[in-house]
Amino acid sequence: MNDFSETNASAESTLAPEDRADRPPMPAFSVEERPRRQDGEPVVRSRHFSLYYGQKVGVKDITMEVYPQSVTAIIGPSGCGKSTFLRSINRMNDLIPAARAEGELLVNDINVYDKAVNLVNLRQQVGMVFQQPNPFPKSIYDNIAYGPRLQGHRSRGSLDALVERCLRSAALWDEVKDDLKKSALGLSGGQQQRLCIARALATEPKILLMDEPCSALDPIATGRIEDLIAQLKDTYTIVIVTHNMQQAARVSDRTAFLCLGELVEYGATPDIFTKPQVKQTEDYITGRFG
Amino acid sequence: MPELQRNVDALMRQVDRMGLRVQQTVLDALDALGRRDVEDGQVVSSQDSAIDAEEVAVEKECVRLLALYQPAAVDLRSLCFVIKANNDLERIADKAASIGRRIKHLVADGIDLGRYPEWPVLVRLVTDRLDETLRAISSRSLDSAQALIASDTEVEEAYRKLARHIISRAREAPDGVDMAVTLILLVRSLHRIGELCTNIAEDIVFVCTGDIVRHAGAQEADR
Repeated sequence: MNDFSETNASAESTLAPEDRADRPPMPAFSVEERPRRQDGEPVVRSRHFSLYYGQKVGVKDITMEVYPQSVTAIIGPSGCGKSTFLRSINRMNDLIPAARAEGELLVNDINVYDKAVNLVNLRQQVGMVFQQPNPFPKSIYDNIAYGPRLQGHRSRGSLDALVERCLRSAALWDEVKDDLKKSALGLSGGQQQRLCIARALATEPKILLMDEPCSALDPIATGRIEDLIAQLKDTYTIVIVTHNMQQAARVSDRTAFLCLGELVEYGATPDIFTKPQVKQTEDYITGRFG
Repeated sequence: MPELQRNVDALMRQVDRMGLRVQQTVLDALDALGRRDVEDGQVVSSQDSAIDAEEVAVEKECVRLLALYQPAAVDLRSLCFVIKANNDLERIADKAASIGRRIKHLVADGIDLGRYPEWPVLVRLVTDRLDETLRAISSRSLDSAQALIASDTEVEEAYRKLARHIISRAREAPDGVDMAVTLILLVRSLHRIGELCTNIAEDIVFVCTGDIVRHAGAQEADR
C-alpha cells in the first residue's frame, strides 16, 4: 500500500533520483536565477503571444504586462481564452498535445517558451490555484510539505515552520493548527481552497496564478479568499481569471478584457469599470454584450 | 435590454420630467415677481415640498439600483449623475421658492426692480441657461454641456454688475440698507440658479466621458 503519511521514513528512498537532496544543481538558465528586478518593472510580459490548439486559436497576439505586487484580473465571456492565457504563463498548456505557442511570454525577462527553461523551476516560481479545490488525499501537513520535500527540505523543524508560515499566509492556521495530521479532504470547500493556496505558497513562488478560485465556493468563503488575495498581493504578484466582474472590480489593480482570443482592453481597474475606452468592453461589463 | 439599463433609462426620464417641473416653478416665481403678486409667490413657495418629495424618491431608487445591480461604466456614471442632478434641481426649486417668498418683502419695502436695468439681463441669462441645461440633460450632449460650462462667466458678470448697482444705490440712501439686503438676497437666488446649471453641465460631462471637470479652474491655478 502506498503510504502518504508524514512519518514515512522511507520517503526519501521512494523519490526519483533527481528529487533527492543530493540531486545535481539546477541548470544555469532558470527563471529564479535572474538578478533582482527593479521596483515597478513588469514581472510578466507577453509580446504578440498566441497559443493554438492545433488549428484552433486559443489566444491571439496578446501584448500586455503584469506588474509586481499587484493583482491583475482577466475577464471575458466563456471561451475567450482567459484560462488559456493564464495557463500559458506557467506552461500548463504543454500538457495538451496539440498546444503550440507563438510570440514571447516573459517571466522576469526570460521567455518561458525558450527550450532551455526548466519547467520544474518555472512552476515552482509560478504557482497555480485551480477552480475546483484539489487537495491531495493526504494530511493537511503533508499537503503543504509535499512540494518542499520534493525540493529537498528534510529538516522536520524547518518543515514545521514552513507549514505554519504557509497556513498563516493563507489565513488557515488558526482553524487547522490542532488538526494538521487530519485528512485535508475533511475540510470545507473554502478551507480546502485556502489549503491549496497555502500549498502553492510552500514552494515560495513569485507569481500566483488563480483560475476562478472562488467559482465553487459560497459567498462567505469567497469573501475570505478575496480578503486573502488583498493580503497576499503585498508579497506576491497575482493573476486571476474570474467570471465574476464584481470580483474583478473588488480585488484587482488592473483588468484585462479578452474576447474571442484577443485582448480588447487592458488598464487600471477603476478606469475599466467606470470609463472603459472600448465600446466592446463597456457592452460586456454593463451586460449589453450579445 | 438588460434590466438595469431599463431602470436607469426610466430614472433619466424622471429627471427630465423633474427638470421641466422645476423650470416651470422658476418661471412662475419670476412671473409673480414681475407682477408683484404676493399670493402667486406664496403658491410657488408651497409647491416646493412636492419637489422635495420627488427628489427623495429618485434618490431612493438610485440607492436601490446601486445596491442590487453594482453597475459599472455608463450605468454607474448615469446613476451618479442622477443623484447629483436630482439634488441640484431640487435646490433650483428651493431658490425659486425663495424668490416667491421675497415678493412680500419687495412689495412691503416698495422696491422697484425697474430701476435696475441689469435685472432683466440677469433674468434672461439665467432662464435661458436653465432651458439649455434641461436640453443638455435630455440629449446628454457633451458639446452642449461644455458650452454651458464655458459661458458660466456671463452670469457671474451680470450678477456682479447688478450687485454693484444695488450697493451703490444703498450707499446713496441712508435708509436703503434694508432694501439692499432684500434685493441682494433676491438676486443671489437667481445667481445661484445659474451656478447650479453649471454644476449640472459638469455632471453631464462626467456621464459622457468619465472625467470630473468640477473645480478645474482652481486645479489649474494650483498648478
